[in-house]
Amino acid sequence: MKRFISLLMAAIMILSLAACGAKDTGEVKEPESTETAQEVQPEADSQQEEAQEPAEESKRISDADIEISFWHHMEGTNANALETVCNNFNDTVGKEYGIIVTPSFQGTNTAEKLNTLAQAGDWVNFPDICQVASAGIPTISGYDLFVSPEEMYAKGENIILPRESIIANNARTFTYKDELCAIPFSNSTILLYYNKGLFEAAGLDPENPPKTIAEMAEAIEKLTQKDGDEVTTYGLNVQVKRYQLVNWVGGEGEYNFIGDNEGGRAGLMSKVTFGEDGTLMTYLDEWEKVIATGGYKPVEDNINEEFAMELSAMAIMSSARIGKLKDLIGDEFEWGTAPLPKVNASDKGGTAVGGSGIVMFDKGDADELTATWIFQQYLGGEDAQYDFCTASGYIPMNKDLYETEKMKTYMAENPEIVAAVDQLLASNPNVQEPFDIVTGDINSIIDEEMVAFAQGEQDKQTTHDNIVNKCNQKLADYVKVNAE
Amino acid sequence: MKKKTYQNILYQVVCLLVGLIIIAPILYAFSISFMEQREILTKKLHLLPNRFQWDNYKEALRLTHLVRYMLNSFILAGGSSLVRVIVASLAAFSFAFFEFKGKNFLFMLCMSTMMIPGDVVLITNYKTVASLGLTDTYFGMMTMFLVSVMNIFMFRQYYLSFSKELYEASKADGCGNLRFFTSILLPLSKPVIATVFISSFVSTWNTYLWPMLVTNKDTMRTVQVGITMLNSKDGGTIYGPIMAASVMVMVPTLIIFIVFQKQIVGGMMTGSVKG
Repeated sequence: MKRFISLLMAAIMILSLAACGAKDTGEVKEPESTETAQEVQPEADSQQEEAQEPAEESKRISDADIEISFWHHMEGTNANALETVCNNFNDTVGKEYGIIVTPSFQGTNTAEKLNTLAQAGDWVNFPDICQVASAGIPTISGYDLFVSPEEMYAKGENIILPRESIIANNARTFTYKDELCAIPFSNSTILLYYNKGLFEAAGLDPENPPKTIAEMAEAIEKLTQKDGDEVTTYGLNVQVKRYQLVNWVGGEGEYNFIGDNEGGRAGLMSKVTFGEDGTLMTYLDEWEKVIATGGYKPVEDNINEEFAMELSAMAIMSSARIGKLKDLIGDEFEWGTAPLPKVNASDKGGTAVGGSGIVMFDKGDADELTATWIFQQYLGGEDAQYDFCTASGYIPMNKDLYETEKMKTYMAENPEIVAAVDQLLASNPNVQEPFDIVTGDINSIIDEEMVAFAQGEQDKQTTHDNIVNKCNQKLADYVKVNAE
Repeated sequence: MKKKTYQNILYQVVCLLVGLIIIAPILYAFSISFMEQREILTKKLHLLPNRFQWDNYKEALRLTHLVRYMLNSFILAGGSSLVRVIVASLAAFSFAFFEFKGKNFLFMLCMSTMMIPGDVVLITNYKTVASLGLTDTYFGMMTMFLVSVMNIFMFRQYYLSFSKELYEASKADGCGNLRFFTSILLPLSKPVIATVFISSFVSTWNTYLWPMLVTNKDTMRTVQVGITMLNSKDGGTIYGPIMAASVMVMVPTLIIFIVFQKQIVGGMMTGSVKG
């Protein structure tokens, strides 16, 4: 009996400690505790300064500091870069306005977490501001608490990031029904990475990488190395999923929306259009040439690492991986980046802007909303974009930043990023990843069909028809249930 | 006799091979945690590090608050496992030893909940926890793991094999139900307690989605989230620090297993009833 009572008591103690501890821990904000300590002193100093210089007007939003909760999905070194940006804000602009931002990681899909909270009607636990991938915009823009930058710009108050500073392509990425719904933040574009050493060894010009898929197929044949029947170095490694396919098809001609309603940006996307306008078949015609080379690896195991180990001579990846590849390759060999090879030489569309933007929510406090709006703009400002992008490898979305000396120096020192920036600026803003709502399903369909096509399990026409029909079926199912 | 010896040797060799296959990924992860990035990414098979270095461990601890996350996971897994053992053992006691109206119906009702996938009730559960104001609390994280029907079932099955004569004999001697439960039944149920505690601890320790959903602050994260934070979709995978973090995260579950291993192996029923 004694033993049971002691066991029970121990259980109760642990539970009560846990519950109480949680409350305490919940209130402890590690980054803030140091911030607050730093805040107190300058505040006292600033009060003295104010007494001495009454002419200088304080920008503080309210007497007490306003705390902003910022949800993000950055991991690894990118998370460190983001934390630095938040700390810089707290130390500079945040101090001026009396704002303290606390960033917190919320898993790799913040939109999904917001969606769960919204479905549960738990608006209280919503963050003030959140980083989301562009695909989540149509759903998020429907939340009661959502406030778009468009609305805030229309009010014309507390503007620290002029609307015109946002590159048109990046703005379009986060535009839904003609309304800018997020401030672009961590943006990238798709690139061709190539090994200059292997290009030279294969008799190719390392300063003249392939510009079209057909040219790329020719290069693959020359670059592929074999030991008997076994390929030791592939000419190209890329797994064609939704991201890659919509960039190729989207860039055909002047531009291509991929789906109806401007690819879901003017309203709910109910079908894909790349089947009926023939652009998917045009792409598959060209892609067949790549598959026929025998030197194309259609599955990505570790695309970064395999390129770094010279297991593939070319790879197609997001520009956000430039920093990682620099770390992996070091001085081992010379490599470069180039715009994504076009489907047809005459294509003018370019590529889509990938990555995430920042959305904000109105939690019912006017001061908090103002503070959130200032931080949202700060993240798109020159300083934040420079600090974040140079530390992470993303491409700045702020037009003005490219005019500054520090950015020019950075680009001169990092030539790999030039191709990404040039490609982004030369692309038609209408070339975007579609707001296809059932993004995960569409990604799986394209992935499975393209791998089957590349591995010779099905022909071109079957691949085309399967992609079109299956995507349309998924979209129709969604529309049927959610149209209202 | 000779044939039997050969059979035994063969049996041992097969067991050893199976054991090696099972533990090989863990040993390889341990080895990678001491390798430099370039050693990990080699074309040739490279099983052991050229030299032992702790940089990956330092990097894992620098990039995330892993120690804090381990404490959070320990409170979550330890607390909920303890409650599970208490609840499951008491519930099973009533199902195995008492006779009351609707017992079988109640038991079947409990068992039928096993057919409902956790994901289906995720939002409903979140709604309940959020409306109780338990988000960002340890108790909120634990709520989902406090009761397991599977554990009740395991206890019940164990109790059903328990000697009924012992129960009746103790009752005849004037021993009450609670006294029987605490003084006789529980001490003789160490194997099932250990099994339930370990399985519960390991599964809760490894859980990702619920703690991620019900907490919003970085200080409340658990180890599995911490390991995810080391990964980067765009930046690639940093194998060394991830393996180092995985090894560190594995230690508490290993300790728990080693502590309770003896209890699982020991047969406690032997000799408890004398004729």
